[in-house]
Amino acid sequence: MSDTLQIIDESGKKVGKAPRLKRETLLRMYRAIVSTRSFDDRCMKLQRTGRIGFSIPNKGVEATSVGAAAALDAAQDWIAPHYRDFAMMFYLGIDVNGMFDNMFGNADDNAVGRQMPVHFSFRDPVNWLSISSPLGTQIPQAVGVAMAMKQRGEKGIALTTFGDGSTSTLGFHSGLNFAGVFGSPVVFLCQNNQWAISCPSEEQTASESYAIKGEAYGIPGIKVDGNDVLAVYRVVSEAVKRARAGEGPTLIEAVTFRMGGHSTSDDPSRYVEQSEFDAWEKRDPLFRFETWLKSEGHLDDEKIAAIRAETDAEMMAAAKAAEAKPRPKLGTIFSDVWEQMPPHLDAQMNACISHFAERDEAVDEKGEFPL
Amino acid sequence: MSALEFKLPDIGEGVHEGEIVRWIVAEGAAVQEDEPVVEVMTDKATVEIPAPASGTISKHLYGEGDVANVGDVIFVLDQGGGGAAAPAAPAAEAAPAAAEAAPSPAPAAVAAPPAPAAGGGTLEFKLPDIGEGVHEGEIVRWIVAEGGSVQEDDPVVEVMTDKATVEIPAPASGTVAKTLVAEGEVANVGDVIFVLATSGGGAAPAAAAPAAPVAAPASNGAAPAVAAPAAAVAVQPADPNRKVLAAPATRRLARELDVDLSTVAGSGPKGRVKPEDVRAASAAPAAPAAAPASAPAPSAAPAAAPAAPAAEAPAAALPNFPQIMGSREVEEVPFRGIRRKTAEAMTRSKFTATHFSLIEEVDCTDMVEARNTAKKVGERYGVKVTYMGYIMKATAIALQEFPQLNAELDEERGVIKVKKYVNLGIAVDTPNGLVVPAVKDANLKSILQLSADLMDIANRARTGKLKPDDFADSTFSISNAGNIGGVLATPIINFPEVAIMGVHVMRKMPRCVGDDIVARQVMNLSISIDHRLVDGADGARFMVRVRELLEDPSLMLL
Amino acid sequence: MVQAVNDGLRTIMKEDESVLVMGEDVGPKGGVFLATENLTKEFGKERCFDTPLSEDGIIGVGVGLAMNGMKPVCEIQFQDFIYPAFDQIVSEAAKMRYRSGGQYTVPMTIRTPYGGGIRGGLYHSQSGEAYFAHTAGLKVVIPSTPYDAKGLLISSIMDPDPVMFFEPKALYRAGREEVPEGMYTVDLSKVREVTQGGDAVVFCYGAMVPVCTEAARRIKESRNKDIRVIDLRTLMPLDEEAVLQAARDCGRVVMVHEAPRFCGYGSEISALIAENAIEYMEAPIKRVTGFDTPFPNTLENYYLPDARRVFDAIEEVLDF
Repeated sequence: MSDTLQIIDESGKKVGKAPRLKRETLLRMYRAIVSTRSFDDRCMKLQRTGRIGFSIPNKGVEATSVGAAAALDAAQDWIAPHYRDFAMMFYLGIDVNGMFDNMFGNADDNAVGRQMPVHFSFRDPVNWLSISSPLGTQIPQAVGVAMAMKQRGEKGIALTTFGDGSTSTLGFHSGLNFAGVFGSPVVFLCQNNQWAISCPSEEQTASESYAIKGEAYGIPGIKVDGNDVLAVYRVVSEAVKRARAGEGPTLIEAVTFRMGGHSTSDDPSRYVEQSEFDAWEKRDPLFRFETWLKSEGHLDDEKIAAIRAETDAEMMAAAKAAEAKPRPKLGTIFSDVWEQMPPHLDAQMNACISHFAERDEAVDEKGEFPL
Repeated sequence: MSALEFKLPDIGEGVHEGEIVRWIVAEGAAVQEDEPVVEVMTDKATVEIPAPASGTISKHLYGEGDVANVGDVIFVLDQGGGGAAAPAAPAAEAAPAAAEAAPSPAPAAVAAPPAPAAGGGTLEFKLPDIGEGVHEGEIVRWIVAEGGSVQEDDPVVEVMTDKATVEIPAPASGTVAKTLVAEGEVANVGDVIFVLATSGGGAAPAAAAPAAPVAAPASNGAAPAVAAPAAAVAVQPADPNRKVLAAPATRRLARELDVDLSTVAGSGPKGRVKPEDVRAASAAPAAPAAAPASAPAPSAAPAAAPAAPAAEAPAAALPNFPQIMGSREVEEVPFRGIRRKTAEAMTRSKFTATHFSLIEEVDCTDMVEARNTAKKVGERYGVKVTYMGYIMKATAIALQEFPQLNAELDEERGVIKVKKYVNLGIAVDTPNGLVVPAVKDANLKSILQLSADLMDIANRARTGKLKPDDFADSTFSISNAGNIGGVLATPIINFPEVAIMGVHVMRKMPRCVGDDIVARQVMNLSISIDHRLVDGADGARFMVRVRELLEDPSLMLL
Repeated sequence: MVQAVNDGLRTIMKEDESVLVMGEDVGPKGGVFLATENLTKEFGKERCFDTPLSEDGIIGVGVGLAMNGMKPVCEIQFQDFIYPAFDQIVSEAAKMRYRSGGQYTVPMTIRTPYGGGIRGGLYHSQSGEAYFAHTAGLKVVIPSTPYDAKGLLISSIMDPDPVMFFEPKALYRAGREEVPEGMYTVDLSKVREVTQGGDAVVFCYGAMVPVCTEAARRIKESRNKDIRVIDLRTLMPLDEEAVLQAARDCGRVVMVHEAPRFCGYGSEISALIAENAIEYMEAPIKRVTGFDTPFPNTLENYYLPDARRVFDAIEEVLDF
């Protein structure tokens, strides 16, 4: 378990056998990481100017997200994600406009402005389960999703992601236990970014690693360098292959580092030593992947600059578009609770709408009437 | 170049304030969108706040080390040139504004009506919102003076608001200990206007105590008869301070049977009134003490019939214009209440609707004859059938045929609202100024009914007894001011309606009938229409139709 | 009633292949109350299977199954054991449709025996329906007869939203009646008039229905008053109109449940009537409920409302 698989080392040099990937795929992986940095940057600025309420920085963990995403078949696999996997979304081609609609909670948001930002939910181009704030709840759900596919004889698998903190939840235990017992086609990907908000890994568990916890459930546990996009890709690919072949679940621990706060409301300098930041800065997954791609002749500085400019512009445009959209209508407070609105709720909705219409407060800050 | 006031956002979840650690961009310096402007430390973190748009930082409103609240403007950004950066401006302001708006409680000003105190005590009476959304009211008259005693529900003060003049009743029995606003002064909704020393705990025994004994004799000749009925019906004199025990269903029954529960002695536990008690009381010949309050203690007497003098007043009390006595004095009359409201409404109408006026002459000879007959019939019902009744009827019929005149323009939503009902606003000249209450559903009413409604509404208008609802939703107005004098007028539309009709003086005039010149009863009708919505030709056709109906009133039966 | 539940499960499993039964001991053993007897034998262990002893796992996995095309019927062995799954029920199943704007839904039924009467003490007797009726997004259904148990269960399983199906274990082997063979449904959100009458109305559900019916019979016998007993059947969404109509008709109301009183379901009924039909009330609304204590063991018969307590409450409102 002490062996952590690595293919590209911290200096960007190849130290293991690289998986065979097309140049196009490699560049798509690279672009997903760069997009995530642009997205993060845009969201931070939107939040600091009060235009959105909240965001989750993703800097540092992108290689884990992208390496895993590249191992999936979006057409049939399901993802039960946690909230720090933006790069996975970019790799899978989830619409950035839809992501910003959620950040602003506008009328086009799939969550209809009901959730905080970053609680994405998508059906296309992949089943990206609605993200929950309570931690670990998605883990047994992924097992259920996988069991349904197995039951119907489908080849899809479920990937569920979670942080190191979530390994302490009830969901982690029951999810892994059920998957072990039922041999469900699930891949459990633990993004060990060292910190659960301010709780360090050594205070989260007394186990020698997170990967070793699989053993207790009869599930293989594998530890991988989470900042090495190719290593993550390889490990997740193998786990996916096992699951598809009916050989059961796998637990993967990707060792990485959250190079920012837990959220936009968090100040990590209160609890993370600067020396730790500095140490991990040297292992930055973007730098590492970029260096390797350059050495392989897939990228040059000019192209890098062009991609960065493009993703920055893309995020700026998507943010402005989402900001310009109206808020959801007032009635959406009441819809989607049940498939059919019961009479008591209908009465509450009507009372609410006429109340705010009478108070002349039904016009929102953009001068729109959300009724 | 537009100035953007940047408000400190909630940069954590639920942060309320932040300390300005460092101004990264100095006053007067230029900044690009997204560049950090200031470093702010909150309870949760220290963060850099980027510029929401490009421009020049024209002002810092807080020094380094100062603490700003979320929502405070912390700097002003002059945006160079506008252009791309512009859209950010409203948004940056919008977010905090929205946050403030969200949980806002019901306006504090709308004070709940004070509950009558059970025992003795003082009660501060705050001016309530007596219209919908009225903010102030002028104290017209103290009906009960300081020191005067008053029964619950008796009027204490007359208050004039933008919408109506109303009498405010006492919330409890007692003595008016203090009046805080003088006659002619304006009080805001929520201001305490008088203090009531409530009776019950002995604070003002003078008022409460005599009431009960006086009650019985006061009920005129009926009293002996009532005492007689055998048996079951236990009746007791009303006591406003007694708490009646009764289940909600019993209370409903009492309302339905018009039984005053306070006069019914309950047969249930603790004297609780039961449904059968109410039924028995209802079956009894008369409620003997039904109106005890009308024979109050002597001290309350002046308050007993306050409405009466007010109703007679208009004839005597001429408008209070300054008497010109040859001096150079200028009297300043406060510009408020109905006068100001009228001014605002007229201005809005005149500057919004494109007025187009038209005059039609109506030969009323036949109508005068018809009305003379109808008048006798009306007397049987106690209704004075008036020419206005005919005019309203004709107008209502014509409006159904020309609905474009019975409409309203909603410019914001880009629709013309054509009303499927006819509520006729009637301009009434009152001592306090012009008011336009509406006779509702005029198209469904007979000439007799319209005459009755008009009489009622005009009376109430002149005595200041109109309710806010009387003003609501007029669809077309008629001004009858012309009967004072004048043969023509170009009335101003009662905006947002689209038309108003003026009714002018009726007089005998020589007119041609066939080839003969004969004396006829002639009257002019004028109409002003909003030319944006109604073409002149339609206005003319409408007037022709009204004329046709008035010249031969039997057509109105069709 | 337990056979009706079993029949209901069998009927819908035949009808719809996506229906799965899962929970602790539901397989070969057929459940601790034998509600799932023979289902594994008949449909195989893919359709009816035992799970590890983990309520959180049963419901969490059930949510996943439901989101991906299945209609899981999860059994929680005793309602008292449901709390580890509270997060999955309240934060996940109940809110999935809402938080995903209808992209993901949870057509799941959670069956669980509830209530006292089996000498189960404080962990085999609880009535926690109010927790779930308080949660937007859930439906709460409680049958009181074998006919309703089957019909309501089939309706619940076919419902597009998560349903909490509380089975009154005290009645599992009590009330017997013929239940029609094959498919039929009973509408959710419709009350059942158990007895007719206009002198007072008693609202109840689950195991309290026969208790209240007995009390009504005694009132008729001793005072010749006709008491209307209404079985609410679906607590969420509630058939509010029917409740208000009965309250208006009778003017005197008693509400009975075995769950504790404070913030219990009876409070809602009482408030509903107070807000919408107060002027029809001839007497205060009375509640007969369990006490505001944990559920006792030895003294359970003193805790559970019985016909005498309900009788007394009806007398009180009649005599007010």
